[in-house]
Amino acid sequence: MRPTVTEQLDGLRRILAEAVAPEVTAPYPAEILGSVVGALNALQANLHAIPNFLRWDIETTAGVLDAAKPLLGVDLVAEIDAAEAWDDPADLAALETRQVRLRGLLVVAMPAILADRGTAYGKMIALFRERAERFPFSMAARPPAKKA
Amino acid sequence: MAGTIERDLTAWLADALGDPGVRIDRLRRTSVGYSRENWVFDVAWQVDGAAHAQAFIARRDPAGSVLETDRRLEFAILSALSDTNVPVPRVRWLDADGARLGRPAIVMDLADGVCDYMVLNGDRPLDRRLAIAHRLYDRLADIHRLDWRALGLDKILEDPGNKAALAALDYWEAELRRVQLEPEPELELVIAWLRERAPENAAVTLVHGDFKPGNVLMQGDEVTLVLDWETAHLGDPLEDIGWVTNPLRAGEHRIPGAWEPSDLIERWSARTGFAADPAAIRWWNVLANFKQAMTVLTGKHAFADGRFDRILHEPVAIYRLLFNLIEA
Repeated sequence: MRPTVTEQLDGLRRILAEAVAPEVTAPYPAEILGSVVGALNALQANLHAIPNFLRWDIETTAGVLDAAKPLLGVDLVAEIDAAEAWDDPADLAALETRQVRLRGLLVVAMPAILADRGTAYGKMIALFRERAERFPFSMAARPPAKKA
Repeated sequence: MAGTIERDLTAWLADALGDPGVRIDRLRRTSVGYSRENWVFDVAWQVDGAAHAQAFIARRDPAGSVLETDRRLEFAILSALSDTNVPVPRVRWLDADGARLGRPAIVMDLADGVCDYMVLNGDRPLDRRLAIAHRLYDRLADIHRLDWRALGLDKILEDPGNKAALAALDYWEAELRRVQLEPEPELELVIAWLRERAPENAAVTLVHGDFKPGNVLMQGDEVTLVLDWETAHLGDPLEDIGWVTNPLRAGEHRIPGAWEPSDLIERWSARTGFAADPAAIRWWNVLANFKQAMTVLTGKHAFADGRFDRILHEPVAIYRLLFNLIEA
């Protein structure tokens, strides 16, 4: 599929940076345009990492919840079991939905995990720390450095 | 957009200054500030035939922001501080409900000076930077020494008593519930840590809430104004100390080897007479980072609503620091 999604994002970034930005002189619009170009850069650079990150996040969060099951009530365990049933791992929207659901269940399970401070707690902290390293985007998109 | 605000500002100032012929020139929105729209402009008007001219700044609520605060309170606090030893911008007019500019706004005198968030680590020699640090954080101590009851601030701000930490945590947790787009288990962990350890405060003072070199105006090496009072409230003065000693912002507040957090705390404690309990300061360091994370989440929420012009992502760098601070 040409132009590919990557090529389209790169083209949009180039158009904004080279055709539009030189004509934008007012401070606020120029700053915002710079951040838009930076965001397109970041999206292009990280687009292909997103499905893998979501799959890793889902599987690791499910691992924490599995470890927590002995600490949880039967209704919550049933909810976790239902959420762990796998859909199409190639469907990005399905991955996003599942990730949100499992992270929501982790919030519900957290008081029991914190009270126990056992295996599930250790796995949860390890998840949080590794997730912060693997997360595909930085906090705020920065404008790219100007090319010489 | 500038055309609309110019027309509305002109109508507002014509009424406020009593001159239907008031003229506004060089109106422009500055790029500074993630939370409020800042519009600077020159005004020319006449009173009894005498010509006057002055530059002003209008701070208007944006459609969306990283922080949602109340212009009415900001105006009242700045008015109350106008005759104290804490130098603040002179506020002129308040549009509390947005009847004038579409959204709530304050008009203040535009003051000369430089706003340099990296002034402590800029080009000046070390001795001058250290002297600036002393002046800067002495202003913070002066804020904490204000007699807020005598200034009437107890009429407009809530006194949390000795539960300032819990009040702050309740406020920011409610903000999380209001703006979160998705579950945030990392922050739930932090909330649990904070709730277990909330300290009681020995004193209640005015708290600036966002004190930093980037929120003061300087002329030469002198601190001439303390700016951005939108998060000011009554609380534990250690909240501000936790904010300015937050490791995340060390690049702005610290001069390596010469002005470390311990130096800042020692000087502040000597000037205010307040004790600085390390465990309480650590608690406020953690809350400072929770607040930093909340500004990102508030911006994400406003972006998703189409009310904010910048894309923000999950604040994982802040999470990493939080995990270290709470030793998770």
